[in-house]
Amino acid sequence: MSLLTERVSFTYQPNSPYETNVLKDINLEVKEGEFVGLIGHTGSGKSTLIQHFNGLLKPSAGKVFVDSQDITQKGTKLKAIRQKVGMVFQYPEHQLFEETVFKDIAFGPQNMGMAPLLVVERVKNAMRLVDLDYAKYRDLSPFTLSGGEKRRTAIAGVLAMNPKYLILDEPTAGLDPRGREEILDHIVKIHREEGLTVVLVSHNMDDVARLVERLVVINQGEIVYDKPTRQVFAEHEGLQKIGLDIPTVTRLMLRLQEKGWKVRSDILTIEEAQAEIMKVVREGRADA
Amino acid sequence: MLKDITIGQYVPGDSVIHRLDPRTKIISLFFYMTGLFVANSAAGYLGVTVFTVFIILCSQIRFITLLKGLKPLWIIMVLTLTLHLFLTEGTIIWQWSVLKITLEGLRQGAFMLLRLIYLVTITSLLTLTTSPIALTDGIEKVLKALYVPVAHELAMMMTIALRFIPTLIEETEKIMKAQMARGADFDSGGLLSRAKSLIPLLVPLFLSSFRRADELAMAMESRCYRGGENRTRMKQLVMKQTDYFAYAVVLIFFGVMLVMRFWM
Repeated sequence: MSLLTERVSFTYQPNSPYETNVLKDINLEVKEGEFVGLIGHTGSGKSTLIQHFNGLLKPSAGKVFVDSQDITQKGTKLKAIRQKVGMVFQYPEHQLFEETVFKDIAFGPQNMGMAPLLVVERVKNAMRLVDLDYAKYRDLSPFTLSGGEKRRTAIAGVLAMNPKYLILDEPTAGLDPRGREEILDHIVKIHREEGLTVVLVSHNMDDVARLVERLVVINQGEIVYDKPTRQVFAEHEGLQKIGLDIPTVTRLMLRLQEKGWKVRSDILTIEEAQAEIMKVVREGRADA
Repeated sequence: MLKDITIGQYVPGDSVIHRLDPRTKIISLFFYMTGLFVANSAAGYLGVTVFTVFIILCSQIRFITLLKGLKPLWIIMVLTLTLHLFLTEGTIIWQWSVLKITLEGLRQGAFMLLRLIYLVTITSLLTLTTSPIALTDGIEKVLKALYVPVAHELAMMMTIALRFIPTLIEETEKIMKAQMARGADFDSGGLLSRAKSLIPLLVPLFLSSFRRADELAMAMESRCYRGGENRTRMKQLVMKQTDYFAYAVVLIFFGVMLVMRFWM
């Protein structure tokens, strides 16, 4: 069971002066239960790629499989696919439209033709996953909420469809540090506790370094790296060549190395960095 | 689908028409339209047709492009023709129970249809050959010459409206996709359910338009924009020889139309 693209290419506005090859021959598999990060520069094609996974875009060439069902085939029930593959777009709060939080979150499940009682269940569950108190928020207008709350409402709107795969496009863009933390914590929780397969699109290296197990780097429509996060960030020179950063802590460790410290540079989180520096400091003392 | 919208589209080029001063084009358009409405005989319409084809050839815009611009109007065109065909009194040339076609009706219908086609063609030609900025500059100057009090503001509003068409189209597509990802269906169902399915699209779209308007107003104000008072511009519009020539041509056309109508 997986999301799978097989030699997918996508051409934007073919046969016109604006023709551009956004994706070139993409082979990517996201297995069930994985937490995958997708990073790339603006315009690298990452947003285009994810829209293939729920049939919003059709590849110009190649095939897309969702749980071994070829969704590029004619007559595919795309509604069922979109239920299975939940997609949270950039700035998802811009899609809110209903009078109350409840109604907005219920939009997805209702479109799936679910019974009213079940819809209530789904909404409650989705709100629990993003820490919105059902009794308190149910009847509020989504437009009166704070930025972070709005975004959580919008994410709940996707979760309420009970997807098996969750794709998030820059879910923390434009939020303050606290809002970022909250959203990311919820995503981790959803992945760990509900067992959803998550694809996180981001260009914040600190976020992906901390969260994802596997990292896919895409540049000008092609996959450059696809391996465990730690190994990707070890390629800091290659990343810099395509205009991508490395996590702040990794950079710190590299600078320390430059200054002659004998620290490891494959460090991804502040905790690891702390431990490593302490270790080196202690060893240094032992030497002296 | 939404990318097919061609209102206010500009095709860059270097034809005589492209190079004309926008003021010349706007004023000529006025004379052309008056000439078109003055024509009331087959000879008159022939004159308009020849002149229109002449302008199109000068502009180097392809006929196909102009025909595409007519496509959204086909309902109005068919309606105009049928109403005139069947509802004008006069010599009957074809009859079937209450339906009758008269010679006068045929004539009227054909003329009206041509009038409509030429109106749309020539106005699209204006936007096709004039960049939006030049166009609003021209409109502003013409309005000022007519002592319209808020000329600059009107022109600015037009510029902004044109500038935001592509942005709004992009925004619409984004919201559509987001709602489709939540199982929304925009393409099937009856008229009522289709209209209802637009709510999840329109509400966010309105909200984002207001937000954008707000942000733009703020940005303009913080750069001290305060309307047209004492405003100078970097690129001044200058009349050239071709402009005077164009005036001469369009005035000759206008004169010929007047003569055909009243003295022939």
